[in-house]
Amino acid sequence: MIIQPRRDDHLVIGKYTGKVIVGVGLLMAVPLALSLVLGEWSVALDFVISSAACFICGFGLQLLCRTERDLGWGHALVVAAGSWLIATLLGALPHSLSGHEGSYLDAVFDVMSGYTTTGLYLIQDLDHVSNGLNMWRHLLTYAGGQGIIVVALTFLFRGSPGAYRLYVGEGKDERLLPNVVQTARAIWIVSLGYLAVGGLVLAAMGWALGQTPLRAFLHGVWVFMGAWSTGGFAPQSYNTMWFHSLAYELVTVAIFVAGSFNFALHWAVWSGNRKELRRNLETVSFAVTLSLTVLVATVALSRLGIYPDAVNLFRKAFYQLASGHTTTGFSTIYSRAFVVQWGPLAMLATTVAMAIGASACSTAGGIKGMRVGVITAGFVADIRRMISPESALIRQRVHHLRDILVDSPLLRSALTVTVAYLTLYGLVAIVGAACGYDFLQAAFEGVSAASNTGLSCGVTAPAMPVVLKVVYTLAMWLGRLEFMSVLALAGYAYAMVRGR
Amino acid sequence: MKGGYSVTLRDLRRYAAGMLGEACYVLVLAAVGLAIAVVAALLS
Repeated sequence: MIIQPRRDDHLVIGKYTGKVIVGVGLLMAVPLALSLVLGEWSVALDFVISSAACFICGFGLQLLCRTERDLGWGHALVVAAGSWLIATLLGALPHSLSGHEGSYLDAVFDVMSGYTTTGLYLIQDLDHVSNGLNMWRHLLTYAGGQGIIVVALTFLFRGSPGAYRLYVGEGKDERLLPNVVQTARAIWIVSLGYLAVGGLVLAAMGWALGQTPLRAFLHGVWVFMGAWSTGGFAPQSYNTMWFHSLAYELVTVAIFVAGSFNFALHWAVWSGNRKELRRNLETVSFAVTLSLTVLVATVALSRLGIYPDAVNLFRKAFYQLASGHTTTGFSTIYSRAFVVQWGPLAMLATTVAMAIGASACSTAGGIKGMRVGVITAGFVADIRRMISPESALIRQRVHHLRDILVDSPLLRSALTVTVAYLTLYGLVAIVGAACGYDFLQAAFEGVSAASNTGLSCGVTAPAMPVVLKVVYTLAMWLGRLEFMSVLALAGYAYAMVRGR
Repeated sequence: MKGGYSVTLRDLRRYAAGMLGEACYVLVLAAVGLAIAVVAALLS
């Protein structure tokens, strides 16, 4: 029998969802302030209207749902998924009011892409978008990279057990420090530390490359946010190819690879444990799978003879593969070049890299190196068992901050989520193919959306079918929250209708 | 970081060393990528 949620359940979910929505409204103060400083009055008005909508919904929910009850696990999962959905619907208001989107659905697609750090976009005339809206696009991908819940935990929550459940509901399950609010703040220390250094370096490089100081500063900050959050948004339609600079490319690679690290790994390394960088399962797994996919793509491209020398081959192959594997989506080639120049083998290598993704508890998406590493260790353990005497006791361990025994529950959990991701990739690819796209292109774009990467081979465009826009939006949401929260929200909705 | 917000100069030094370590990891990956490209270009 399915138990219908009680009034008390609705109240606690409404109260905490309201808090998160208020957080989104507060976040809009940043682009609003920039618009006012730069005299973009109509853009400022868009943000006043949008933040007012957030405050009315957020405070209204808190007022209607007054309760002293703390969140249970089920509530936290529903709040995490529900908050992301409502934050997307409200966060799309500035996009929609800007006149740069073909429809409200396009605006929702772009904002979901931003929050989930995907980077696919349907916004039109990107090169002439206002500074205020550009700040909002990049800020929401930066905040989404840390996690909307982490933003709310940092500024609006006390460290109750419910706060930890919310944090887990958002797809993060590692405590950097004993208290979850301190953990959220530690995540911000790492992110803001990198923002200060990375933003300034990119701004200085942009200035040296000929941008005006203000433009160099804004672009530096925005490109940093796109890189660090592994979001892949950039203020120009040519993405990072616009800069035509090897040095700029290397700096962005350093930022997005660092952004794809597990926050717990960052905290360990920043606390002095630098050995962890070469011992950690995720960094080892990432190095191996990145090198293998770069090898396949490079061999494929060198056979086709598209790039004249080794340096150009390295710049194009390594950049696209590193960007795809970290699920960033920055690109230094045209979207259609994947199809018309790279060919099936290099596209397949990029698709595999995107599907694997980067680290758990990071800004990145995809299956995650941790799971790939655990499953590989499980295979190794099975092979060792087969070639050992029956009485031998085989214990396979992996290292992530400490040695972890690869046992059945760990392996089952890794396999379950991996199968869920593979199923999602397959379904999204089938929908793309059913909409009339070539299967490889549909698979490339579908994996890109579901793994929150954002590399495009040209399928994503304002004129694409509505059904594909909806499916990609849902895939980005499911992929970012790693299924559980979204399934809990669906279960909650079902229980409301059919429960007794 | 102790007790939540305060960050000392010593903390900042540790953070900078951590960032440098992470940058070295990326450089090693890039060097492997470049080596693959050089070998592939030579063989093709």
